[in-house]
Amino acid sequence: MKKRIPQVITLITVLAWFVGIPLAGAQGGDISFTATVDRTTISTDDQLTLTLTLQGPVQNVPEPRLSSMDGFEVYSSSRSQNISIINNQISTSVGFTYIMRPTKAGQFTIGPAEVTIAGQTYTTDPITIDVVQGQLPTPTPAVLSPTAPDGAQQAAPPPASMDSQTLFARTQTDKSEAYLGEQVTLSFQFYQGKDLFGADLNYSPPETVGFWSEDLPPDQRYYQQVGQRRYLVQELRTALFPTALGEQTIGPARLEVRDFFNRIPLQSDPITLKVKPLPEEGKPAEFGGAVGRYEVQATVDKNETAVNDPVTLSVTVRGFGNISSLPAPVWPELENVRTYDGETQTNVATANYTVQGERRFDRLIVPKQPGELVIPPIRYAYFDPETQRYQIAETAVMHVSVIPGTTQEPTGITLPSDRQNLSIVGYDIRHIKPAPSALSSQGMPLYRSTPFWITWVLPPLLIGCALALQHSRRRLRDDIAYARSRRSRKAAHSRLRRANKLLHNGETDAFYAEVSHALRHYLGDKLNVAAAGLTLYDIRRALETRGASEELVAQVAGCCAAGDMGRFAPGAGTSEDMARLLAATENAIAQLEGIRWNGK
Amino acid sequence: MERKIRKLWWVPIVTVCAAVILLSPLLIAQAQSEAWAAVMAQGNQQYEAGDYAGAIAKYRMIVDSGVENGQLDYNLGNAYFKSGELGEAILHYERAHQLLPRDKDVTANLQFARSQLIDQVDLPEEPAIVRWVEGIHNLATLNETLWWTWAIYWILTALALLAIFVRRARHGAAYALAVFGALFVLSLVSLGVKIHHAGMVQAIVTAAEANVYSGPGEDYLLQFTVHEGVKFDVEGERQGWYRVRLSGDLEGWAPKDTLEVI
Repeated sequence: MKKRIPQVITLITVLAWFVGIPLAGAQGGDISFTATVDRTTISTDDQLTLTLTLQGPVQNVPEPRLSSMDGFEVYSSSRSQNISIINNQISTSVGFTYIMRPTKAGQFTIGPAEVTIAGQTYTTDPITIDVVQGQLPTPTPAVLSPTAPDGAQQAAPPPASMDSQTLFARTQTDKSEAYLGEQVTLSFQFYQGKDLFGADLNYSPPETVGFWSEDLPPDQRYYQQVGQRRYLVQELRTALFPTALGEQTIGPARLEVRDFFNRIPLQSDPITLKVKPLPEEGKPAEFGGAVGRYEVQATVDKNETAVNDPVTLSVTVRGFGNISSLPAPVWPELENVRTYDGETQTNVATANYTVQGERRFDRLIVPKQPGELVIPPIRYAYFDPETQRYQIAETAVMHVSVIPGTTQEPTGITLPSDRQNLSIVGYDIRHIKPAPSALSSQGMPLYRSTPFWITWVLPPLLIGCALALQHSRRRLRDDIAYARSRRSRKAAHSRLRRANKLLHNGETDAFYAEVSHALRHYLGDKLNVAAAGLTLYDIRRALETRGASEELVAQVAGCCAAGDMGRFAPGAGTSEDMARLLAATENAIAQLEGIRWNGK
Repeated sequence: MERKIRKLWWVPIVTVCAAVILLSPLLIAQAQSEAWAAVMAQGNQQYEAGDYAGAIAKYRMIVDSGVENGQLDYNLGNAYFKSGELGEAILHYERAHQLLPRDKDVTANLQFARSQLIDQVDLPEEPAIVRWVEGIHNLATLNETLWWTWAIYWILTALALLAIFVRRARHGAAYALAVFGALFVLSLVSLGVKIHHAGMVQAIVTAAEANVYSGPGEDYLLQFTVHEGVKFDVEGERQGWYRVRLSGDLEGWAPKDTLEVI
């Protein structure tokens, strides 16, 4: 049911009030503990609902003990709690509901039930139940305990003919005619003769034009026998205060029971209520329209003040009735003061399904002259619908002494203005957006674009190259053989380039030395040995073991021999010979590059 | 030398032609998007004058040409909402929300429109931590997540290169690598989920009512009826029918003409 929110609001209001008032109210008060059953005669195939109600200024209520449960089997128990504050006193009403099934026919006694609070034990009267065999013709609802549980009298059962329906709803009022402004309690009952398996219940409250309405939590759930069928009843109550005269209609309440396959609309009948005007006879002059039962109290915030120093006079009207629309009292005419309306504070509670609470009216009084300020009694008139008579509540006389003030002129008195909370009148969607200068698509999915994914392949390649480069640099630094081998070709080439220059300049000796060094140093680097110590025999062996072809070995040997010859036998070769030797050496080195120097 | 120059005479011409061919779609697109913006401005004027049908016609013209733009879908949703077509309104708000996930106006109107739904579909309430993670995940669009992941990926690459070449920076780079690595993994997960979701199809009921049958045909059992604006997951299709799933286990087949894919 979608009526939880008013309950929460009530709780918040109650808590806020609780913080606002000093805990002056005495904790010790009357605690009542009563037991009721829904009927005293049942059949063996029926169920009995036992309700234990504990009421009083108690904070924590333990689970009560049931002493005698002979002949019954309890198969469901639940707990409900209702906190109310009346006249600054906190009162808790806790209900424990047990659903029991008789095990055999006969006469049985339930209870007494016991509960211990603050060391004291409270007991209920035992209840005698007659259990008869088989079905009973008509169930008779009965309330056994002398005091009814917190005014929550169960409504009269519906006619037994209704039991042909498994689901139905109806509304009832506690009276058929009422005075203007008198509380009428409207209860909506939803009868459920089968399990609904968590179906969605959508409740639309009845149309109550011509009434001021106030929700009355908590919702009730109980079982009721109608004809041959046992129903789970859910009951919601609403307090209605008539605001218009004559025949007023309370519209049908609707409940839609919906699961995914069915939608069952339920509707109660409309109710017509006769609203009577308040009698003219004996209507006091002060009467402003308050209906109910009230008491008033007046206070001033200080008993001594200075000229131009405002005093707040508060009148609190407290009682039962439509608190939210209570009229302000008739303020007394005072001499030599200026007066201003102050705040109005309202606290509404709904204990025992009756709307009650208090409303405080503030009045600012600014004295203009020193002296004694007398506030006469303030009379608050109301109509009591129970006695059908007008009553007047009166406050006590109050005195405020006014001393001459320091400032003569009233300068800048800040008065509380009637500030209102921002009220939202309507909800709408937010406004459209302006057109941009160019309207382009934002939705093209980037993850389908190939060039984009190519940029994802680059980083691994980059890191791979970086690692290879770094590895090679480290090896050049740490591994001499590797470093020599890597640099050998470059060194040989630079020597051969130099030799070429020498050849052109005609420096024969130097040319032969350079060519010879180029080849020998190249081989020394590759083999990681000193070039000076390499004999022709060493070179031949080293090349043969590394699988060089015979021609290449012969060519290398030839170059070495020719170089040595030129160095040690000057003038032996012509410039053509020298050019041929240079070309052969270059060619030999190029071929030597192809040999696997590391492997043996 | 002269022969060489004569041989290369075509190079500048080809370059210019290639540039024109490559750039022309961009230029045409630019001119087109400016034209569409003008159409949208006209639609806005009609909307503000209260001519919602006219505004819808203008906006639709742009949408039907293939432009996917969040602001446009939002305005179109507003125009549909104002003319009482809740299903179409929610459809376009959903599209706008996919394109502009952080736009407060879009979120507000989508929620407001959903609150007007006839059917109340209760989605299972998820724990706070799941909703929190989902909230972060839903902050960015797929493309934004992709760019973000891409940026982290390149930062990781740069850090790795720094660690390889600069021996002294190696220690700090290792910490940064750990942090960005974790971010990268999270982004990848979010990206994966988003790409997976991009493949999932959802649809909104745009007809006043949509009947959901137990099979693809009206001869099958009518399971339930939903009203406009309800969102379905589309799990398959058969000539003229979508296989749809509402939250949880409620599923069936609905005629294609009552739904529109987001």
